[in-house]
Amino acid sequence: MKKIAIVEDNTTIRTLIQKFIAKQENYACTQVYDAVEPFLADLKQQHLPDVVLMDIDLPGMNGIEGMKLIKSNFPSVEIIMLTVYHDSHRIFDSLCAGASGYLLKHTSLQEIKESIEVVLNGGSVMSPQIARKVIGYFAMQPNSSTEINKQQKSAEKINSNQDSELTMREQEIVIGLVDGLSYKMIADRMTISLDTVRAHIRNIYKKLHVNSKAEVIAKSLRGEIG
Amino acid sequence: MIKHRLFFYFAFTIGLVISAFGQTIPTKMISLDNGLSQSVVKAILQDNNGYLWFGTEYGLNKYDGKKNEAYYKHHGLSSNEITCLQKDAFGTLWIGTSKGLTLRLNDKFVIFEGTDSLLNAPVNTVAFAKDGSVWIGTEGDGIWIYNGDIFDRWNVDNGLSSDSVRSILFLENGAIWIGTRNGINIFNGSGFKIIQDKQGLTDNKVRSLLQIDNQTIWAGTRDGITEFKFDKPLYRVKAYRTTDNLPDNKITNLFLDDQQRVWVTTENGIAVWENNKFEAFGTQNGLEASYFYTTYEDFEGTIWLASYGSGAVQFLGEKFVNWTTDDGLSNSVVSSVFKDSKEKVWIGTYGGGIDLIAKSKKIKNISMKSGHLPDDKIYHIVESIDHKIWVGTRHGIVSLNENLTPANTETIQLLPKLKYRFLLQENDSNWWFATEDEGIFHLEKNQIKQFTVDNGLVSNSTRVLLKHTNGDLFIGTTNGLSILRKGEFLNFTLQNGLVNQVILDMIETDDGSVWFTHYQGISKISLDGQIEHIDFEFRGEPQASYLIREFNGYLWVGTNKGLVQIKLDEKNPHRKLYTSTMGLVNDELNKGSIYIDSENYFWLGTVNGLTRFKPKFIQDKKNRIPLYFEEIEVTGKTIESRKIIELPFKDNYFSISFAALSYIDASTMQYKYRLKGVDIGWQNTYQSKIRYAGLTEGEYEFQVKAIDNNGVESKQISQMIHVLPPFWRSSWFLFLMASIVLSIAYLVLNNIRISKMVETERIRVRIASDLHDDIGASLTEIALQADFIQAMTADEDSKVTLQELAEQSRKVVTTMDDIVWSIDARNDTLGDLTDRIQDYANKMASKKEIIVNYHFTGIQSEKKIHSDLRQNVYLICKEAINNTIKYAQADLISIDLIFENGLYSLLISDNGIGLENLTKKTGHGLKNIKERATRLGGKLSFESKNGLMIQVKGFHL
Repeated sequence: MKKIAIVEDNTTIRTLIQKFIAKQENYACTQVYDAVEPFLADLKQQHLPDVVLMDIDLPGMNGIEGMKLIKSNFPSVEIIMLTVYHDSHRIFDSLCAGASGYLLKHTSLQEIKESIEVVLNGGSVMSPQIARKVIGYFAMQPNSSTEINKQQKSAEKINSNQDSELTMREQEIVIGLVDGLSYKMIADRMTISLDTVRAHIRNIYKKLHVNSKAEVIAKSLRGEIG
Repeated sequence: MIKHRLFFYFAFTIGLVISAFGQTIPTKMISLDNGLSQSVVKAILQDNNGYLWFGTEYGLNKYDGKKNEAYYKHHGLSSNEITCLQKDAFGTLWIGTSKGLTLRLNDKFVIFEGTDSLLNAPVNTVAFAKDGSVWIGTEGDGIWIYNGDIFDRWNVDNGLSSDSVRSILFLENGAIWIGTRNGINIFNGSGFKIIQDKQGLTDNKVRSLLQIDNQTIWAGTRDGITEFKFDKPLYRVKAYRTTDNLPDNKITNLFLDDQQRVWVTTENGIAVWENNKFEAFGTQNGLEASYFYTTYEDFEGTIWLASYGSGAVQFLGEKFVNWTTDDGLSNSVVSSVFKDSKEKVWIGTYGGGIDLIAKSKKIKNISMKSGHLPDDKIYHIVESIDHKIWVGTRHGIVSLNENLTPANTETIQLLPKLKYRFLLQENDSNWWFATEDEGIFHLEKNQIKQFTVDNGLVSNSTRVLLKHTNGDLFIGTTNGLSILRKGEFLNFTLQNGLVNQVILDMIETDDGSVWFTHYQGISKISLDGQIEHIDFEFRGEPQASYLIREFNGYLWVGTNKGLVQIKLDEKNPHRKLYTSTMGLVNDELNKGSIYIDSENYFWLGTVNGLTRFKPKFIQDKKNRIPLYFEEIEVTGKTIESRKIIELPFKDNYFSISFAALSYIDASTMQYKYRLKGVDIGWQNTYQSKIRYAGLTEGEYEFQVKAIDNNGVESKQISQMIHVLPPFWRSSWFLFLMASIVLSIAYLVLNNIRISKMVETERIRVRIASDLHDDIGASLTEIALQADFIQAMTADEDSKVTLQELAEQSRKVVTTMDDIVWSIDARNDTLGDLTDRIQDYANKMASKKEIIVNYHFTGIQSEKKIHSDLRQNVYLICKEAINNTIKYAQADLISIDLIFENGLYSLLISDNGIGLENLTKKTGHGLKNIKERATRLGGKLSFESKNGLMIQVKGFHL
């Protein structure tokens, strides 16, 4: 039985998703909250869900801040962000904060369920808009790179940790996404399965999170005692 | 009751854990890693331009706070081994080496010719007499005295007790003290008076002489310090050795700092003489080396030590002393710190119980294990009026006697085992407790009363309490502030004036107002409920503030970026920041974790250790920090500095970088700059590089000032920049005038137009996102409801209807999403557009298993394009994709955006049934495409051969 939690302040949306998930086989959805704070309080009493659907705009602490705290205290919890519209900037911020995926709220209930499954199977999805931001973040060059870019690239490599750099495979996937290839095309091209593509994407998100984490560690302490 | 007895039992059987307790002196080392030529530093000096010079056994180094520039013999030094550094009244550097002297004149090295003998002599010391003469003490060659004209020499032949001279001291009364390897020689106008061990000198090998005041001279020797006191007709002699707390008897140098403290360097550690006693520091306190040659104090009051093997060491321990888990702390998170009336320091940690430091400097830990505490996570430690220590933990409160036995056990028993964040004693029998989740408790004469949201409290998650002198109780919670006034709660939240709702610490100031800290800085609430906020940003990020105290006319605020000191009575208060770079153990302080003791020491708990800090030590030096231009780049190329920089009209993109020479923490340096004629007023920044582009022809002056951490402004420096007019224009003066008038008019009009556009844009964005948020949420609800009923119902007809309902609602949300996207200025590049097209096409195509190919040729993804154009291209694509997917029965779509010869063209083609076979339904879609193509200014054409191809050609973006 997989436990799904929902943090969403719109009662109707929250209740609908909850009821729908609760009706699915192998899913339980009893932890629902309208803000991060009560959710955190509950987590500390060891009710750890497997996946959390979390809204970004919340009263009090916003979803991105909340996610940083949750991920640093309970790294095993997977979080999928819910967002009203396709704001790639905020989606990227939430990925940096540790999200395993994101969903537009008007996604159909069926698709919401499928996304949860993807995440539970260790995968994630990525759109070209996000892929381009990932490239910017890891300073990769999708096309030809000028001399200056190369220098910047090597300078940044020196500064960053080996574990948090993208592998060749991961770079290939991100660049493929920017070029508009579908998962299937990427999978075919690299002779790997669709699930492997999704697993690579999840890994990329993890690296994003690791790279943006230094500050979070200190904040997590704060979350408990601040 | 049983539990209670058990508690007692443990307390007396297990005993206390006692371990050695060190402390760490923060230092910063400048050595090989920083480009120092060698790690044995023998001399340090700051020149009048602010640069620090480090003389090593191999090479001389000039340091600007970031990098060292090394100089050797081939640069003009008389030897690579530097022995001493001095500067004269004109600021000229005198560089003593193992082989003669070198001067630094006009940025060049000049060997001091002097005499043949001096050219080869190792120089030990250089001193400047009042009459302007230079005294050069050598090793084995006596003293050379140069008065600007002739050389004179003193050596054993004149009666000096040794030819090896280590130190020369000129006194007010005209006497000259000369320290040699064989005693001190005092010259009083006619002959030498020699002081040696027989006269009370601790050792004949004298290494340093220092005048401390009119009556006191110290001589540092190879066997301790000899003090000469002239308070009586006959001087008195006194010796200081390791028995007086010196770390070693082999003294290398004595140095008097700005605050009359004497710094003693020895062959095994250093000592500071203050308040008539030595405090010693060595490797056991974290010093990088044990052998030090000399001490130096720079313009900012920072103490530098010249070390054997570890380069130049910036000594920060005069202000900060640190403890971490390496020094014996039980846990790195210090959540509460407190010094009791018996001078015992209680360090509450979050996970390791409480560490105690008594005067013995031994650490003692009490914890759950030792039976003293109900939990090892401590929130708050206070001393009650009757001198019991009360501790709030994550699992109840405990009260302890001085000998650590439980006190007030019956009262404590009454209190539920909750998380106690804050304890406040109002009077003998009257306490208030703030709990994590259960509101506040009031204990009065062993009666307990709880207050929660049901009684009007703003939140049950309480964090901090303050008893105001007027009787009000202030309660800080994670959801705002409550004031309990005459039995009623007054509540303040985001809705009525707070900028952040998580209140972390509070203090009352003299005027009766209460300052409180929160995640976005600090705010003040006056007695009539007026709230003021101090904007708390450092380098553009808000500083979460965890603690606040008032001390000595300043507010002291602990943040996640260091400790901030703010002068209260200024209108735009300057904020001084103390960071880990300056010696704090960590930049992030903990909530309320501060105690200011009777000696004015600040004890500060951080997320990684404890710092003891004494602010009075930090002298607000009014020396002006030197400021320089570092580099000027024109269209990406560094150009040589010159008085006036002339830029061609065509490519006048330039950047200018500058640096203030600060050796404390360059990141706290602020700058003010303006380009006269362009910037209106001074611009504030932490950046040290400013860029300008597209300047119109004319003469500009770039001015910049630095403001150091003490709020002192540097001298202003400036650079002239002339942007040249195009040659064909300069000859026609009238034309030039006319064009200037026109361009000014244009600028003014343009400014008005732009500000209007910005305003309209802002309104547009706001309306669109409001619409989207409200209606979007409602439509989403409808869609999800339809989904839900659809999943629950069995009736096929209803299913179809419900699906249509859901789809329709989602379509509207998506359309609104498109609108919000297209007017969001952050999405203004071509890359954003192509991404969006791909996102949409992939999403639509994946449902029908259609393959989409993209060809973006010649597209610069960083190019900015106007929102209208962006929207038109996107909507053409969207319309075309929709048509194809719905009607064309294609399995391949190709979307091409091509930039060629300065023009764009868009091609969307599929392998479907083509235009002829399409039904009327698509007519509207094609009409839309036509309209949008016209708006783009492109030429639209359809071609229907093996599918449909839509082309929009020749438009600009």
